[in-house]
Amino acid sequence: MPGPFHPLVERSKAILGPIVWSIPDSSDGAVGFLAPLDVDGVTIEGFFLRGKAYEQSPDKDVMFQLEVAGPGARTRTPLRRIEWLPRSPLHKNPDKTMIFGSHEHPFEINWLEDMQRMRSGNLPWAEEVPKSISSYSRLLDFTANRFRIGNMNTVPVPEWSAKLF
Amino acid sequence: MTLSFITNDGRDAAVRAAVRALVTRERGANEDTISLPVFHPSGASATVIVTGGPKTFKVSDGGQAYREVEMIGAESLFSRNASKSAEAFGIAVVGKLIVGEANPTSLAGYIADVAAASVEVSRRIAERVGARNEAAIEEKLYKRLTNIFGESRVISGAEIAGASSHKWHISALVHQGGHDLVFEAVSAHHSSVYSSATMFHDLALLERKPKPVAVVESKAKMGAYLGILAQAANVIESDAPDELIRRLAA
Repeated sequence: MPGPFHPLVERSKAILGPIVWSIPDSSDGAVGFLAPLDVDGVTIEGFFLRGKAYEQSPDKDVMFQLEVAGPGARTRTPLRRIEWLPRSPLHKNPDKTMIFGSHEHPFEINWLEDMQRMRSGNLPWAEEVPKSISSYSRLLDFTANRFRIGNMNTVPVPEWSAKLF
Repeated sequence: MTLSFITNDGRDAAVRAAVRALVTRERGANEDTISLPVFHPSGASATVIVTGGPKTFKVSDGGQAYREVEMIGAESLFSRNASKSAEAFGIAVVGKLIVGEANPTSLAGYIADVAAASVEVSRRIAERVGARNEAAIEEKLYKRLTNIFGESRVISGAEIAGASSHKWHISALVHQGGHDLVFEAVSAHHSSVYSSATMFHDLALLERKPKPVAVVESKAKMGAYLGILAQAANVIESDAPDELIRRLAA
């Protein structure tokens, strides 16, 4: 039986309006955005694409996440996430297998069909992202395909700086 | 002989590769990024950044714990939890970073402790967010109990003192037929199971002991925790039939 999140994950989506990466955080150099998403012309309450990168890490350590919050909910539920060339090079799955480098946390293997909820933790299962995703523009194409976001290519390049943090 | 040599060589290579994978170092111009074999709830290995030196080093988690909790929308819980963990490890929190200042002798210790504190913070917060599953079970349970016994007989979120005199907060207390039933929502997490089992044991020592009922989402998903709970309480699933709950109260 499909759960409440399946339509959000499976339907085609569109980013609303222009995306602007935030000013780098003075503490950790993080830049990010949170973009509402349209499904069939309706902007779904609490349904977002989140982006995160680091000013001091050009062309690496980029994260995109599909997430949802219930009305009045204080926390978010991550549904799907891609971590491209993350600073933390190692990911451990619950079955102890390891992934080195870029990986995706798919919705399907993190969804508990019998309990109709996401696995506890933070999308603990991941799969390797193909090595061919070797540039930011390829990452956008890959994310567009995996997240089913038609206009993912409107996400600009973060304002990376050569400055060492 | 040759076969034995090859087998041993393969074994050695596998173990060496596994060990090499557990701690990695990426060397930058002014910083080193070190990955350690402790893992955040997302499965990411703890990564610390070492800058400065050669006499004084800054060791930081690079905001990794904050990033982990931000992914689940629990940023508001970061500051307090991070301060608590940092204090326990003898390090500090600066903004979104968990940091320590080391000398060459203490550098390894700081690397280990910053990584451990970072993971402790994100795990503790993820557990707290997970515990809200208990709140969902409690809400569902209260509605069920009021339908079965009537609103006047059910107290939601009651407090009851055990034999130790400790006051326990319970999901629901039902007065029925001259005796009390204690219903407690329990999630499939060790902290929830152990604290509930301790409470049930404490209540069992009372002279006028209430009937203990642990309510879980799914017995199958409780694994070995079910045995721990069953030593101290009747265990039912949150969607157990009304008739079964009435029988418990009889």
